[in-house]
Amino acid sequence: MLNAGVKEQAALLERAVSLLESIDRKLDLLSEFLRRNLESGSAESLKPIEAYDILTFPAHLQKTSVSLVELGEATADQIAAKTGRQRSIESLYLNELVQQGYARKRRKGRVVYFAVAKE
Amino acid sequence: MTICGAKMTKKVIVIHSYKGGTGKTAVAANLAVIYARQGYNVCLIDYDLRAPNLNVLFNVTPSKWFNDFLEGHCDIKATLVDVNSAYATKGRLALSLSDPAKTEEMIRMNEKLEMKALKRILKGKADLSSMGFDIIILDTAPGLHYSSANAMIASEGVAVILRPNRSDMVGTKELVRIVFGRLDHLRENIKIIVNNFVPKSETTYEEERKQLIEHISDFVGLPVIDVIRHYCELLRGTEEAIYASVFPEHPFVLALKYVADQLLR
Repeated sequence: MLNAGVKEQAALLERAVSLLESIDRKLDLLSEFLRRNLESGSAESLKPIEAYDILTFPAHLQKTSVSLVELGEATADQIAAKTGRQRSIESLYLNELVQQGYARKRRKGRVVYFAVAKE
Repeated sequence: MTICGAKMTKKVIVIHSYKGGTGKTAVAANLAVIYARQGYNVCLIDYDLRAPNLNVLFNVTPSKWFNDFLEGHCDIKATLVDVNSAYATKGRLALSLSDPAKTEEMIRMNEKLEMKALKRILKGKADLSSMGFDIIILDTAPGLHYSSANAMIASEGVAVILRPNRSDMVGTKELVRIVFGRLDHLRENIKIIVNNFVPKSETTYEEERKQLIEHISDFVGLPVIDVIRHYCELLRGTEEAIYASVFPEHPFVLALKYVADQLLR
């Protein structure tokens, strides 16, 4: 009886480990999928930010876009330091530039970098 | 406040006009000398790539040109020519000049080059600021070009030179619609300088001047800093002399001293 109980527990543990490994693999896949999505806007499809684009941007995007052009690649913190606005606001505006195809973003660890098209 | 935020403390002033021949370059050069004589460290940049002429006005030939900087061949520092001693200035007066020999080349590759130039201009501004320049004056090409738009984006203030005629007024109003009015950071910092005003008579001068300021600011939608009279001797001598240096008490220079103060406000 005792042996049967131990065997049952061992089988359960084995199944639990197998499930956890499966979850781990799926999390890896999910994380890779998210990473690729975060890096939206490949170098080829990125529109360069030029003077005339800035003239057509709404007022709130002008400071953000010029700061990003000046730095080339930057975090929302670095842009906020230049514009004097809050990091969270700049993050919102930078994502707006990404959505419009003027910037791309990539994640390195926990930090997100935004960049404009290279010259 | 600048387009890049509150951190920048240096002043970049663009001298612009809708049409050529407004006296833009004479104003830019004289303002540079006035500021430098007041003790500011000034860098005057000839950003009129199609028709550069500050090299003639100051009679200097640099080893590297502003064009070389824009094309990425050198940094802005390598293009600077100091003229402090020649103009007896208290502050540093440095020039970054465009190459007249490259005018044809600039016309051909202008658009492509200038589309990429915004980043270079912003870098040049940051480098000049870190070199201790207080004021950067950009003499731009008249009308609307990539270069003038780049200059305005990098600036904290624009002085628009306008002759008191309908053509300049209509054109400047159009610039307000297309450019000036769209740049949020310049909202309070674009000012008109009326140049070459000829009054109908000396007795009605003050009244005419007042009416002109009211009329132009209403029509164009920008504040008028000052009205500078037409001086025949300036037309004769502009290419030979910078009045702020040679005739510092000339009424043209006195008017520009007032303009210089207003532009820093």
